[in-house]
Amino acid sequence: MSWTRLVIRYIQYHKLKTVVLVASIFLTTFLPLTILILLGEFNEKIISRARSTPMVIGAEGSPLDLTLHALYFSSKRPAPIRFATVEEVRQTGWARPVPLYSRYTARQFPIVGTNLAYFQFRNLPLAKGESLSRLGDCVLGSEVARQLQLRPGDRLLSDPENILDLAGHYPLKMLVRGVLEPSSTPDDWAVFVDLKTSWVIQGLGHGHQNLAEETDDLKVEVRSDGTLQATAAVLPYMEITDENIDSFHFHGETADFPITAVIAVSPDEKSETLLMGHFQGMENETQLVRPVVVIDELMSLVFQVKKFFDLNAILIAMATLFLLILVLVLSQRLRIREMQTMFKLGCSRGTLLLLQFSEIAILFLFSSMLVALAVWGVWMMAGNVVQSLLIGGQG
Amino acid sequence: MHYQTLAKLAILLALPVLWMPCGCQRNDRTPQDNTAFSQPTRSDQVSAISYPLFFVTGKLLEGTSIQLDLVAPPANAPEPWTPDQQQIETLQASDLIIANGSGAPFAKWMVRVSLPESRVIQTTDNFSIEEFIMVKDHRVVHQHGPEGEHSHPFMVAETWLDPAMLKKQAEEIAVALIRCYPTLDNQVRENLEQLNQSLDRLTEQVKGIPKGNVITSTPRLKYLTRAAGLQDTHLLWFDLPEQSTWQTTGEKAFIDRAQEAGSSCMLFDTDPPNWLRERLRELGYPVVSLNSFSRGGLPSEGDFLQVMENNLATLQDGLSR
Repeated sequence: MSWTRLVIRYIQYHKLKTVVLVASIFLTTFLPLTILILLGEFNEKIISRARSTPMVIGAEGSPLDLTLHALYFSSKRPAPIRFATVEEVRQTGWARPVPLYSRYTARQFPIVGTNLAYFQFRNLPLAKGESLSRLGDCVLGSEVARQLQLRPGDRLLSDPENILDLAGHYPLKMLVRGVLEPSSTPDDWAVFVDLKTSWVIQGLGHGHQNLAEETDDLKVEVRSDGTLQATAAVLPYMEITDENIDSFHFHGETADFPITAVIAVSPDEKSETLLMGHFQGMENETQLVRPVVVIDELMSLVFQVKKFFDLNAILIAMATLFLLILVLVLSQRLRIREMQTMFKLGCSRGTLLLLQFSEIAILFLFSSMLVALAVWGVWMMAGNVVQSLLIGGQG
Repeated sequence: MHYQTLAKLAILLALPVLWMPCGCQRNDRTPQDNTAFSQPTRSDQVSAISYPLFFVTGKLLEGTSIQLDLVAPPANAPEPWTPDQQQIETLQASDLIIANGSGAPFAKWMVRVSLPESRVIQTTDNFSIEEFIMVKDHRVVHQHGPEGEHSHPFMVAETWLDPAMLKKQAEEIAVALIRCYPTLDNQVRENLEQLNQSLDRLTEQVKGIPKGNVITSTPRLKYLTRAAGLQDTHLLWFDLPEQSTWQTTGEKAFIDRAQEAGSSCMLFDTDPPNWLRERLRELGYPVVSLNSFSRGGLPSEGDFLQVMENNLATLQDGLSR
């Protein structure tokens, strides 16, 4: 009987001991590695998103909330600002503005009102269908399309903001115009609409039948001065179709309509500095933040906390190592008679040592392979896990 | 036997580890370069949303290779109108979209389509507020939202009927074209000079129109009547009257309004139906039909300058009757 057979027999016979030792090595190694991978992924994702977003303008308040909202469409949105800010940025000539208005959701995914420049800015090509064309169109992030099983031509209903608010806005049935290619960014988890469509959801724009042609007395009253009075029985359309799109219109000044953030992209550093100076020098209710600075501050705090985790991992690893040594030493003592018998049967001392080291080596090898397998799984899923964490666990 | 078991186990466990660096890649993308976004490439394509703006832009681009498209409803298209998918794609691909602006919003369909806002040129942005014409549209009073009862004011869009206003728009278009295509600077400036001469001549002709009172079927002709110094009493015949309602209430209301205006010159910016034309003639209000370029694309005959000259000749003839 060869020594390998003896080692395998021994491991197979002492199943419980083997499982406990493998699990101890696995957990001690796997957990710190997982934290390392997830934190690295978190850092990479959040930093790369921040780096690709030079400046964000929004309402005064928490710079972190504004940054996370502009980068991840987080549900904790800043106060709205006027659309006029977009024109203000454009007229300076120092940056190209990209407006964002993310207030509503569709099946829990954020509806992001923006314009066509956003797709160009984020480099988001279409996988299927076409880009936004008309009011009521939406383009889905790849994850939204996958999870909701939607394709171009399908319809998607916006969520009511508050189901108890009967006087609130009506949900809008949007037409899925296209699906974006996966980008491993929060854009995969968002529903994009034209800014004007998000204002329609809010009720700032609507379509209804031509009242001049309406004959139903419940809907139209003729006043004594000859003018027509529309009653509350006239409901706005809930779906924008070829038949009713021509009736859609907006009330009020577009400049006063709300947005939650403006991404500003300057062609050079000088323009960027001038724009920052422009907004810092103004006494209005907006602020300009540089996401990379805000996120750097956040990550430096996270890495301070990570030092405690690292220390903790080292201490646990040491404790586990001591326990393993103890288990192996005790195990050797229990096996003294077995070793003596094998020695008497003709086994050399070298072979006996080889047997014992082989057992330990196989256990470590087996554990390492399991750790590698699990770490590979974590590495593969880290992107999605971190994405879910960053966008608030949607989907 | 046990060697084989051990080997199989090892291979099974090692496979994913070996596969990881060689075959499998996550769908990660590197952040894009923002320089390309802040300085977009050009398609050498420009669109205009009305015929007069198309005409002016075309004149300014004469001698260049820039492609110019007109996105406007065909003459027989029902109102309101929204462009089709192909026209929307043309607009989205354009370097510049030449439009009127919010003070004189001509193409109301623009709020219903997704356009690259940064490339929309509002040619009336350099007008002062007094230069715009607003008419209270009292046809339908309604209420929704926090603003209470209201009707929609009507901003007259046909600024081009006043050649002096169109000249200002042409200057705005020229600035936008030069900013977009710096290499065309000299050509565009040269073309602008020539165009301005034509528009100045037209302005002189408008000023030469005899003064008087007119009734207009809609406020759409107001820029022309204001430039000509005419007293304009407008009706709101955006939809021309039906024969049945005309006989019951329409005719009396019209006569009352016409007598109030103190004019027998009835200007239309569309061709009224024969029965209405005849009836108005019998009542002593012969119809004068002008082209306001508010409908359709290219004119059936001539270009903008020729049509305007025809308009002025027809108006002069109508006023001297």
